[in-house]
Formats: sequence, C-alpha cells, structure tokens
Amino acid sequence: MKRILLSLMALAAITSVAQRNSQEDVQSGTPALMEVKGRKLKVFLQRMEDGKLTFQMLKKPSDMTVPADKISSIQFVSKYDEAGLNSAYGAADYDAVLSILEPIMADIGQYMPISNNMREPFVMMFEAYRGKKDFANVKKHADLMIATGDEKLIDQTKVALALAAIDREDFAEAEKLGGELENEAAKLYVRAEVERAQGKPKEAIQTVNAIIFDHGNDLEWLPRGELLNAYLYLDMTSTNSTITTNSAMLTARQVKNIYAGGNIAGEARIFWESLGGAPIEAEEIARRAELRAKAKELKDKRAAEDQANREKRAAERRAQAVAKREAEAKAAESDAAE
Amino acid sequence: MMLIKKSGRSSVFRRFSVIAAVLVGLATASLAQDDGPTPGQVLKEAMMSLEAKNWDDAIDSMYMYVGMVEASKAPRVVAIAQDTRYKLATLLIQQDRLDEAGAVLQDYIDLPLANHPRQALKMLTTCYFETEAYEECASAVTNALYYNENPVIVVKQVVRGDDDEEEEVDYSNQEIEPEEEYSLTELTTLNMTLAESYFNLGRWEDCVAPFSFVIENTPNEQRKGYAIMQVINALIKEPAFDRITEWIPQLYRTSARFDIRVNLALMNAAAALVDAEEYDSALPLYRMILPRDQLIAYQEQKIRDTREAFGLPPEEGAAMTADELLLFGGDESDAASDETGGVADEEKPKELLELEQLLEALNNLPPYELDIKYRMADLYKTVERYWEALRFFDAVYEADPIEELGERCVYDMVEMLLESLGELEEAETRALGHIGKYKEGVTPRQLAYMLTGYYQANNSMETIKTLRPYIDEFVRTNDVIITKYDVELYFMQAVADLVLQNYEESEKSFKFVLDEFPDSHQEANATYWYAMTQLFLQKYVEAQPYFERYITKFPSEQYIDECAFQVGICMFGQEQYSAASNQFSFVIETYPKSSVYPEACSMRGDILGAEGLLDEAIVDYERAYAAHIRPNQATYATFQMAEIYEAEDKFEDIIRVVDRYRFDLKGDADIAKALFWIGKSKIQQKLYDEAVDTYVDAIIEYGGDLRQDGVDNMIAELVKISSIYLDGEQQDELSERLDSALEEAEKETLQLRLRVLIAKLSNTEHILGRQLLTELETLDNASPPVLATICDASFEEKDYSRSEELLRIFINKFEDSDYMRAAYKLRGFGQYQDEDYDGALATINDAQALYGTEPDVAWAQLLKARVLLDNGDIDAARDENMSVLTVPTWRGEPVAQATYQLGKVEEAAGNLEKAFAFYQRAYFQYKGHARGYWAVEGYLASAEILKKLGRENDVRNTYRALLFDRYVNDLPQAEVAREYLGASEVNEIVDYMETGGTTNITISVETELTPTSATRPAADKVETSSTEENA
Repeated sequence: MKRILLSLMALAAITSVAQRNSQEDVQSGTPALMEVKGRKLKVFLQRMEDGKLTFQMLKKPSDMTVPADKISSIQFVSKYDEAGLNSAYGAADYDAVLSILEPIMADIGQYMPISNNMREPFVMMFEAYRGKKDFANVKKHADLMIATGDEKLIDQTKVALALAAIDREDFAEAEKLGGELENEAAKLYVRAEVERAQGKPKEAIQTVNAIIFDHGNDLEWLPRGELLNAYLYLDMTSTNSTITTNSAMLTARQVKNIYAGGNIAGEARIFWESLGGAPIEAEEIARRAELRAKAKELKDKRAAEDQANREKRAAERRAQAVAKREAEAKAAESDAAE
Repeated sequence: MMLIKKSGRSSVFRRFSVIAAVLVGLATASLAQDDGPTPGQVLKEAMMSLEAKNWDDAIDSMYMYVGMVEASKAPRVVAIAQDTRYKLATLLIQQDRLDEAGAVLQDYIDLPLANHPRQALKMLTTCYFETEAYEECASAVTNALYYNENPVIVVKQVVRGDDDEEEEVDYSNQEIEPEEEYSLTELTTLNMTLAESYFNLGRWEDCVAPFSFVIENTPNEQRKGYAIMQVINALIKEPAFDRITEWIPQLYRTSARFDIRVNLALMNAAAALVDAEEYDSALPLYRMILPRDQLIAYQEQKIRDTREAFGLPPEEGAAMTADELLLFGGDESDAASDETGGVADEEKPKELLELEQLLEALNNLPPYELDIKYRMADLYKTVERYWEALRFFDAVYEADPIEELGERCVYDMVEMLLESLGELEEAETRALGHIGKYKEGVTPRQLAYMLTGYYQANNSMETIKTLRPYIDEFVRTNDVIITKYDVELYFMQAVADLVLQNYEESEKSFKFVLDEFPDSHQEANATYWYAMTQLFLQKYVEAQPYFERYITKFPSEQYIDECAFQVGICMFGQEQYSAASNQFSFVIETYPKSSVYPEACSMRGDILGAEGLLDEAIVDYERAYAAHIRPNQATYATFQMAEIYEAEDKFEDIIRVVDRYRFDLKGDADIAKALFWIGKSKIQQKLYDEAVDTYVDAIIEYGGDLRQDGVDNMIAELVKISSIYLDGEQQDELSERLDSALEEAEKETLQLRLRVLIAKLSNTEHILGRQLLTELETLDNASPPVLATICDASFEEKDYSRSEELLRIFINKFEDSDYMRAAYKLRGFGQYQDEDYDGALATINDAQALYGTEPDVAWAQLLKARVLLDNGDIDAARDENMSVLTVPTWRGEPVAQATYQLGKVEEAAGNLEKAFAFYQRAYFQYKGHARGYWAVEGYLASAEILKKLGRENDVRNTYRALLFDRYVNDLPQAEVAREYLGASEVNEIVDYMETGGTTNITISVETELTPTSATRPAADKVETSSTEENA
C-alpha cells in the first residue's frame, strides 16, 4: 500500500513535471510509470500495435518500440471519480459507468494487454457494454480482453461474445464459444442462456441449478446464474399458471442481497424493482422490526420482572435471616439470663 | 506521567496470606533458632530451584522472598522484589496457577519500579481469560491497550511503617529501562482476547471492533477466519442481520473455512439466520460449509505439514525415509521418538496436538453433508425457488432414499412439483418411483395420498385408479397412523369408482374398507357411500339396512339426515310407497333445516301425485320450492307442479309458477326449461305463433349451452307444433328463421342443435345423422338430440362402432335426457351383433328400467327375446316374446315382430307346426304394420317350414299367396317367391291381378298354440290340413 502511494506520488510529480514542461517543451503521449525487469521508467506511451509498445522516455522525445510482453506492468495516472464509478457499477448504472470510463479508455484502452492498474476499470467498461447489450462494443473490445491472457477475463469475454451470438440467434456460435471456456460454471451458464433463448426455460433452469449445486462458491458465475434463474422464473409464468412472479422476485432479491456491491447485484436490483419488490421488502422489514421490538419489549419486561422477583426473594431472605438472628440472640440472652 | 500508587499490604498477601504467614513464620522461627536464611539466601535458593527446574520450590522461595522484603523501602530491594514478582508470575502461569499469577501480576503492576508493565498487563489478561474471568479480562485488556498508548510509571509508594504510620516513598530518581510498545502481533492477541471476553460476556456489539482489528491485522488465516465467524455469530446474537452479508465473502477467502469449528459455527449461524427468516444471509453460509471428507483431507495434509515442520515423519507411526530425514532433519536422540517415528502425546508440539484433536473430532462427527443439502433445499423452497430446491432435494434423496431425510425429500419434492410448479409428470415420476420400490412405512402412503388428493382436485378420477396396484402392495401394519392412511387411500379409491360411475367397483371398494378396516375413522362415510352405491345400482333392498345401520351407529355424524331420506328412497324403490311416504314425512318433520328437506317434500309430492292427490302434491312441491337450498331442488319442484297443472289444464298456474321460478332463481334458473313450459302453455292456449316465437328465441339464446336440456325439449316440441299446428307458409317462415339463425350461429353446440331441428322439420334426420357421423371428430359439443340423430343414423347403417361411446356420453353428461333411449338401442344391438349377450341383456335391462313399456322401447323386449333364443334359452325367449303381446302400448308392429319371433322360437324348439302357425299369423294379421315387413317375412318363413314338412305344393301356394298379396308383393323379399315360381308363373299372376282378380289361398297345418295364444281367437287356432285355392 505504502509502495503504491509512493508510486502514485511519483506519477503525480511526473504529471506536474510534464505539465510544466508542456509550457516549455511539449512531450506528447500518455504519461505512465513503466516497469521493465524491475526498473521503473517514467514514460510517455505513444501507441500499441501488433503486440509492440511504442513510448518515449521522459524528456527524451524520441520513440522507442519494444515487444509488449517484455513490459512487466504499467502504472497510469488517471483522474476519475473512483467512488462514483464503483457506486454506479454496483448499481448497474452502466450509462454512468461508461460516461466515466469511455473518455479514459479511449486513450489507454489499447494498453490493456499489458498488466496495468486500469485493467479493473476496463473490465467494468466491458461489463457495462455486456449489461447494455451493446454487443458491437463488446466485440470491439473483446480482443483487448483476450490479449490480457487472464483466463478469467478470457472466459468473461467469450461468454459476452456468446451472448452476442445468442442475441442474433446464432446458437451454434454461442455453443462453440461455450465449449471453449475453461471454467465449467461458465460453460453451464452459456448453455443455460442458449436454452433460454430457445424457449426452453425448464431445461435452462436445470442447467443453472447445476452451477448452483456443483459450483456453489464460484463467485464469478454463480451470481450471473442465479440472476438468470430469476429471469427464467419470469419466463415460466407465461406458460405455467402455477408459477407466480414471486419466484422471480425472490430470486432476484437474493442475488441483490447476497452479492451486494457487485454489478450483478445491481442488475438484480433493477429487475427486482421492476417486479415490485421494493415495497414488499419494505413491508417485510417493517414487520420484522415490529416483531423484534415486541420481542425485545417482552424480554425486557421479563428481565425486569425476574430482577424484581430476585430482589424480592433476597429481601425476604434477608428479613428471614435478621429475624432468625434476632431470635437466636434473644434465645442466647434468655439462656444467659438463666 | 508520574503516578502515586497507594499500597498498604499487597494483594499477594491478601490472597495468599496463609502461605506467606506460614513461610514468614517459618523464616522467623528459623531466624529465632539459628538466625535463619536471609532474604538474599532465600532469593538465591529460588534461583537455584529454578535452574534445577524445581518449579514448586522456586515458587515457594520467591513467595518467601517477596514476603520478607515487602516492607523494604530501599529502591534496590524494591526493584529486585518487582523483578522477582515478574519471574514468579511467569512461573505461576507456566504451572497453570493462573489465579495466583494474576494476583502477583496485579501487585507488580501496582508497585513502583516495574520494568515490564506492558508484558505484565498482557500476562494478566491471559490469566483472567484462562480462568474465565471475562469481566476482569476485558478490563485488563482495555488497561493494557490504554497503557500501551499512555504509559504511566509508578514512582511513589505509600507504605505502613513499623509504627503503623503511613509513609510515602519516592522512587522517581530511579532509572527504569523503557519497555517496548506492543508489537502488532501482541496487539492482535490482546484484541482477540478482548473480543472473546466481550463475546463470552454477551457484549455482542462491543466484540465486533476488536475482532475487526484481528481480521485486519492477523497474518494467520485460521485466526482471521475464526474472528470473522465470531463477528457473524455476534451479529446474529445482536441481532444485526443486515451487517452479516458483508463478512461472508471475507470468510470465504480465508483458509479458516477448512476449520471444522468454523464449519460447525457456520451451520449454527445459518440455522439461526433461517430461524430469523434471514434467508439471504443464511444461504451463503450454507454454501460455504465444506463436506466432511474435504475437511478431513485438508486437516490430514495440515498435520503432515506440521509434523514435517517439527522434524517428524509425515505419517504417524511411519519411519522417516532417508529423503525425509534429509529434508526435514530429525532428532535421533529424542527419547520420546521411537524407531517408527511415533511420538508420545506429551512430547508432541502443542500445534500438532491441537490439529490431531481437531481431526479426531472431525472423524467422530457424524456426516452432515446431506443435512446441509436438505436445509438448503428447504431454504430454497421457502423463498419459492422451487427448481433449485428440487435439485437439492433430488440429491439428498438419491443419496439416502429410505432414511428419514430422504423420505422427507421425496415428500417435499412431490408436494412442490404438484402444488408450486404444476409439474405433474415430474411429481408422478418421483412419487411412483418411490412407492414402486418402497412398500413400508408412512411415506409411500403419504405420497399415494398426495397424488390421490391432487387427482381428486383436478377431477382426474381415472388416474386415481391407477394407484390401486401400488396401494395393494403396501405392507400393512397395526400402526395407527399407517392404518389411517390405508383407510383413506382405499376410501378414496372407492370414491373414485363412485365418481366414475363404476358402481359395481365402488360397491366392492366401499365394502373392502368396511370389511378390512372395521371401526376405522371412515366407517361412517364408507357405510353411507356403500349404501349410496347400492342405491345407484338400484339395490334398494341391500342398501336400506346400511342406511339404517348408519342411523343407529352414527347418530351424530354428518349424513344422518341424508340416511333417513335415503331410507325413504329405498322404500320407494321397493314400491313400498306408503312406507316411503311415512319416511319422507319423518324427514320433513325431523330435519326441516336439512338439505334433504326439499327433496323429501318433492318425493312425498311425487307419491301423492301418483295417488291422484294432486292438491296435496302441489302443497309438498310448494314446500320444497320454498325451502330449496340448491337450484335443482327448486327446478324439480317447479316443473313437477307444471306437470300437474298441465294435467289439470291450469296453464295460467303453469305460467305463474314458472315465472316465479325465473324471477327467484335468476341466473341459477333453468331458463330454457322454463321457456319450454311457457311455450307449452301457449300451445294449449292455442297461441301457436307465440309458442313458436318463445321456442325459437329460447333455442337461439340458450342453445349454445350444452347443459340447457330445456332447449332439447323445445326442439321436440317445435317439431310437433310445426307438423300439427302450422300451415305451409308458417312452416316455411319457421324454416327460414332457423336457416338464418344457423348462418349466424357461432357456437358449434347451437349449430348442431339448429341443424337437427331443421332436419327433423324436413324429415332428413337420417341424412344429417350419417353426415354427422363422418363430420364430427369429437362429440363434445353435441347435445342430446344431436347425439340421438347420430344414434339413429348409426342404427340405420348398422354401424355400431361408436355405440359404447355414445351411450357413455349420455350416461355421463345427459343422464336425464329423454333422447338417451336412442343410444341404448344402438348399444344393445351393437352388443347383440358382437354376440355379447350378457352385455346386451344388461343394456336392455337398463333401458327397460328407465323407459318401461313406452312404445318406442319395444325393441328392448324384442331384442331380449332374440338374445335369449340365440343363447339357446328357448323357454325364456318364448316368454319374453309372449309378454310383448300383452302390452297394450306395443300393439301393432312390435306384436307383429313378436309373432314372427315366436315362430322362430317354435322352429328352434322343433315345433314346426306351431312355428308355421305363428308365421302364418304374422302375414295374416300384421301385413298392415311395418309396411308389411313382418308379413312377408312370415310368408317366407312359412314356406321354409312347409319345405321342411315336405309339402312342396303348399310351398308353391304360399309363394303364390305372397305374390297375390298386394300389401307385400312389391317388397324386396318377394323376389324369393318370384325366383321359386319362375317367370311364367309370376307373369301369369301379374296378368291375373291386372285383370282385377284376387286369390284366397289358404294353407292349413294342424297345430295347438300356447295357452297365451288362446286369448287371441282370430288366428291363434289354425286347424287346416289342406291347401285350398279359390280363384
């Protein structure tokens, strides 16, 4: 943590230097702290092409190009409302997420294949496209996600591409992408999405249940699967009069509550609210609060009664003891008198 | 900061005054004798004992030393005493003498010149915690943490001198070596101790902060996980459920999730959350609980790692390999270690012992995975996530189908699939799968009961019957609950039979319940329904005692009034009308509020009406109407009154009661039937146009509703009006209205009714019937007249393929319809054709029971006679045919056929002469009936008899007589005679007849007919022996 702070301070210094310099001698590019073989270099990134990174060293405005895989990491100095971003992301307010990240990523997005401190926001942006069903942008950014080499991100990307395929009813492509996934739960998730799109909610929900049953602690795909189940319950209401929207609403509520803070919980909240969950939950909370208050009141009352009883018994015992002592004293006195 | 501590006599002496007094006393005594040891010597003694690991001696000496120098004011002595106290406390803690250690440490802290106040405070917390003095412990930790931040040094001491005067001693000029602040590890330990103390004191909210400190700072995953778990437990106790969820992912990320204690705590926490209906918090906890095998594997690996870390072979009892020795080393000289690497417990490191104890606890723990899965399933079910619940229930059931948990699962699954998911097929798969395999106990019965209930609610009685084989295979016991289920299941089987109108089966089934389960909780109901079943089977004699038994045995049960009423019905059925009337009177007097009261009134009204007591009957029907509970009770009474008024030509009264009925019952009224009666009254009042309008309007308005049987009556009535009262122009106008209505009709039921009506008016019913036979795939929308038309057409076509279906539709849907007779006829002949003689006789009996000797049901009697004859029962066949001759309503064609059939009977009996006589009677007397059909059949049969008798000339004359008979000689059968006689003779006859000639050919065969025939002198006695022909 301390190291990161120091690095950021150094970066801030670079930026201010760069700004000062810009008035005198402008050096273009994206300022960053680049780590290569344990060395940290202050650089201005120029571009990323064909797996090669072109940059300029600070105060040396000549381009240098190196294979990107030789770079250990990059530290960007990006000023953005991090709290606002997290809040918007957690609420699945993807428009807000994109309004924060798109301007930043327009410049630095290209460097994502190299390990860097903005990868998480980049993934957030990608998720926002997926959440908005903006599959054109999903496809546009997919290569960058895959180029990270991070298995988790690659799976996430392929799932998003599979969703795009499902959206255009290319189920064969979706299934092909699903088959390429490393994560078993992710595979099941894609299959369930395909089944849902094919109008087979019963099969789909059973596929999701395989995630829940066999991958109950997969915090990446379980929330998505459970949210999908919420949608599937709603789908079922159109063909099965026995099933009510309660199942959809309560499933969404669980996703919202269990995975609070994540974007899937945010999506669940939006769905849950659309089903009229908020007033119901408010009522339930009020009911429980009332019950608890009553229980507490009862408990306090009983405790007070117990205390009073104890005190009463103690007073009685004391009185008895005093009386006994007095009686003994009197007896002793009378013995002594005799 | 300087602080003055007032310390009179130290607390060591307060607590351990006895020990000290003894020790000091001994010392004093010793001194008195030989000056004794000096404090220096005592201290030296203590140190020597320490070195020699004589802990108790060392402790005694240290106590003695401290006691000897307590009063000293010399800084050096005070400092040494403090140092001794510190060492003494450490030693006492090592010896697990924590109470004493605590007291010593408290003195150490309170007195000046303590070099290790922080450590002493820390040690004090341990003493209190280990002795479960949590209040003191919490206070000590708080003091320690405060002191760590705000150290104070005690520099002055108030001591009581020899003169008992208090004196203040200042040590501020003494140098004290500064003590280091607590390390992060120490702070973590202190916070853990504080948190646990608060937890044990039930100060749930207070413990969260110190636990949080531990969670944030401890590098030990186990400890971190444990602390998180304790926070969760505290928040459950608080309760603060909304704060729990945030801790769960943290817990998941620690290796503490492999700790069985954490897993057990997770189970408890989850259960508590479920109890508090905090399902969203409970679910992740359940998910986090790891299977026992996984925990054991983890724990075993950890033990191996720990053993290796302590230079032991990875496996207990295994010799270390050379490689392991190289890798982990090993102390061969360690006496506690035997050759196989086994180590005595007392020599094992504490960490290893703890791990081994945990593993042992794990191994001793009964498997809990299924229980957890079941709880998860139950939770999912509670939050209406039924499909998820199903997955978990399935898993538990598959693992353990016959133990309690598995049985609960299959029950929950089936219930959920039926009630919450509407997945009947899936429910059946599981339920039948279970009850097909497991025949014992309550669960299979509960499943069968649940399915039965579902089928009943969904009116799927046939499916209930499919459960019977399973139920029969259940192993019966004397267990009360099991027996109760068995009774219920068999009772419901019987009810299904009853609803399906399989009365013979339901009779058996109810009897089964009564016989197999005497005195069961369903005995009263089974008795009632058994009797009712017999009533449906018209077994009035058998049913009555059961109703009476119910009345006697169950006088306070629900069907008591019904039984009293049904006793009356039984009497009525046995034609004991007077007794029945009395019984109905009893019901009327005894149960004026009962639902059977109106029925009893109507029944008594029927009896009175039949006796000609019409006014009295009307009074009863009025009673029934006034007291009606169900619409049909008012309907019956009203139209019975209409019947009486019609018989008395009181048409105004008909209109009055019918209008009242329409007004009172509104939507529940059988409007079509009411209109039928109104129309009928108008006919009687000769208001034909109005009657036609009433009927046509009513047919169009109500004809789309299959249940409106009044419309069907109107169809018949309209046909009658048209043919009798309407002129050609009016008939055309009626046809046009109906055609136009047909064009506009949308409902198939109305369309079909109108088509039948139009066909009846134009005498094209048979054409329509044949058309409908091929046109209608299902008969769901066909009303009784439509079905009857189809029946008639089928009969004409001799197509009996749908006869059973047609009759079944009538019985199930239109039991009271008069049109049903057509279906009986079709069915009876169909069975006869299939040589199903028993079936045919049963159908005939049913038809005769319903329609008696009504003219158009003569076929039943005639068919019965044919069936009996074909079945070889000649006498019975003869009797049945004879009985036709006695029924006035069957005069004409039925008698013609019966006469012919009697000929067949006698022919079969070998009585050729008698046969001849009946055949001859058929053509003599009945040539005017059935368009001469039976007459020509009589001719032909006569000829055959004559052939058999070898009377060829009479044969010829018979055929000649046939051709001379103008009533029959153009019928197709006459061809037989033409062929026999040949063209020239036939032409001769034709020519002769064209000239106006007649013939009087008489063939005589001597015979004596049956006594019955004696009543018919005209031709019954035929006594001729020759053939005469008078040309």
